[in-house]
Amino acid sequence: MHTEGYEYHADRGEQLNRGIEVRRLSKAFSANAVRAVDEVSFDAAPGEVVGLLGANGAGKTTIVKMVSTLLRPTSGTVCVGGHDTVSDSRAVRASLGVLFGGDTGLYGRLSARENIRYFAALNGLDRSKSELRVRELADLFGLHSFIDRLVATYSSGMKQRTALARSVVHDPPFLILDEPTTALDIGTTQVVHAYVSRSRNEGKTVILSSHDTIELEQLCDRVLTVDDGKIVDEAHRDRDFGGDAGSLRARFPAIGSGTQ
Amino acid sequence: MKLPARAGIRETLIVFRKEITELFRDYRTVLVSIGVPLVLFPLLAAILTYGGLSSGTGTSGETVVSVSGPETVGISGFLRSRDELTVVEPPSSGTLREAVADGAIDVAVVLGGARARTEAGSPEVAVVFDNTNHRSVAAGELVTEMLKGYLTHLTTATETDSEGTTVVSAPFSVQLEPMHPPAAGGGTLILSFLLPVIVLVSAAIGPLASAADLGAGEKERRTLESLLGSPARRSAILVGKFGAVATMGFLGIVSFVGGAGFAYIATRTLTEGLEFTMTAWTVLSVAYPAVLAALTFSAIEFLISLYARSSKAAQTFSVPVLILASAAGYAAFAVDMRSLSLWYYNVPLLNIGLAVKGAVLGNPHAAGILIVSGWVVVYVLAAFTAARRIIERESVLRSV
Repeated sequence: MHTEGYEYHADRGEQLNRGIEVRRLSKAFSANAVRAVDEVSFDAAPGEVVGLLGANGAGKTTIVKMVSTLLRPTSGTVCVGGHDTVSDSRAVRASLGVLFGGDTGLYGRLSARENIRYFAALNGLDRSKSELRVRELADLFGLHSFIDRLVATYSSGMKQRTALARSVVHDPPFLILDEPTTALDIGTTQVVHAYVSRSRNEGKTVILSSHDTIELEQLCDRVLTVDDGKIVDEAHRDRDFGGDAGSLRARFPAIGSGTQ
Repeated sequence: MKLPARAGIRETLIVFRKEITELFRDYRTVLVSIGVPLVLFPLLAAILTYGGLSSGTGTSGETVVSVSGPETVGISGFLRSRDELTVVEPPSSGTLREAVADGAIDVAVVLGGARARTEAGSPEVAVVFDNTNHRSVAAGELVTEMLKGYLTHLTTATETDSEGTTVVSAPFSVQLEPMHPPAAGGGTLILSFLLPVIVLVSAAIGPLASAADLGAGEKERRTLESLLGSPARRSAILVGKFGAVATMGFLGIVSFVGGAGFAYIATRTLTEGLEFTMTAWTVLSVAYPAVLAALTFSAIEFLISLYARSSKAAQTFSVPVLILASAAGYAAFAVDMRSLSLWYYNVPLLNIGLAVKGAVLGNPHAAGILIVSGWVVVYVLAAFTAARRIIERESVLRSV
């Protein structure tokens, strides 16, 4: 996607080759507090979907927020497409699409079209490219029937489709999805899953945080289990999933139980 | 590649346009920001019109009076004997009216030896006062009442006319001499009381809802997370949002002026009324400090909102600001503009009220307004710097 006003997209090819690199990442919310994230390291390669599995409060969202520049690491580094999230945060934000589940962070007094256009403009797309992109995303996520209604009148599913469209309006090479299908209907969940698969096929890097083991098995190439702010296990699709639905849950019964 | 400054302006305009669109779709914000200032003045005007507010407001401290002209039946001595009054010599330079206008004296009493005698043949005593100044008005009323009391005490002589009728001959008559036409003076006096309060209060109310919405409200709705996750510069986000808040503040002021205009026209037709000459210069010289007030309160309230974790908290934290705005407006009323030290223009918020009052009285103080303008730049820059520090910290995303 060509954009105007930002230089970061010039090195898109290079970004796609670099992926996301997390090194000894830690976060404590105050000086004496227990670390919410403790010395976490992992890579997410281009064309790879990496899952973060963990119970509520395990530290998944804190990791995701540090990768997406919303939180500063207490120690350690995160590089997205070769850009450091602290020293080069604007470059990182320009190359990321971030979607949080549950609360979609949309502007209720704007329509879906206006929400998407707003973020297109903030990402440097000019008006004609923005319109083109809105049409593409409306087709892709099935927004046409409600795109000009105010978001405040939407169902959860409509909001999440719109939020996904807004997050990827600039066609970012990196996707960060934090529990994107929580409390969604099957149709919207399928839309999200389809987009994740499509992104992997396009060579994008995806980090998907969830406590839904079946979702992670379906979508991820690797799943990192987070517990007490640490990565306690790593499962690979080829080696550990075994192609048998539910096997990830069997591997981590305490975490996956009750989610599906 | 575009210049960073140009890109920053572009981002600012994108944020500003979106915020204004959203604000105008929220009827509560429009009601509070524009509706309340619109009805504020008409409401007060109605209360004043039907409530019968007196312009006599009393004085504090000693009333300074000068007595000039040939002594008449011991009036000078009588006035000097009153504890409430300080009788001074007439000014050696300038006219008596100038001395009253400057605040050197509150009232000038002119004894009537050299003046035309009244039809009854008694000398006239003139009480000269500034009817656009509440202190001078009260002093004029006080001195007049004293002189009338003295007159009653003296009225003992009787004469019989050619037809044999007994008539009472007063040794003097008291004539109140306002320095401005009575209706215009009363109107100016009341406006010089009301406008500082209303300008400050409406400037504080105007941006209140929008500030709470665009700072703390965004935290509550978690839209700030998405916004700060975009590549837009944080300074551009701040300026765009502040611009939207200030715009609502300006619109609040415009609504207030519209409401004031309506009230002015309506009360003139409803009552015999108090007149006020609203020249273009008066409007401009009142509008300028009003804009300064809108900028100041927009900056303060937006900063509070960015600091607060919920829009309810933001509105609660802003209540003291509203109280301070009212207090500053009333304090401006109490300040005597005739002998005002420039030091007063350094007192936050009161300085804006004084600039408004000076404009209403047709005598805006150029140096004072310059000082106020300088202070408003300081207030806005300080608020912006603090807001910048807040938005750069990750704690800005925390909400309740």
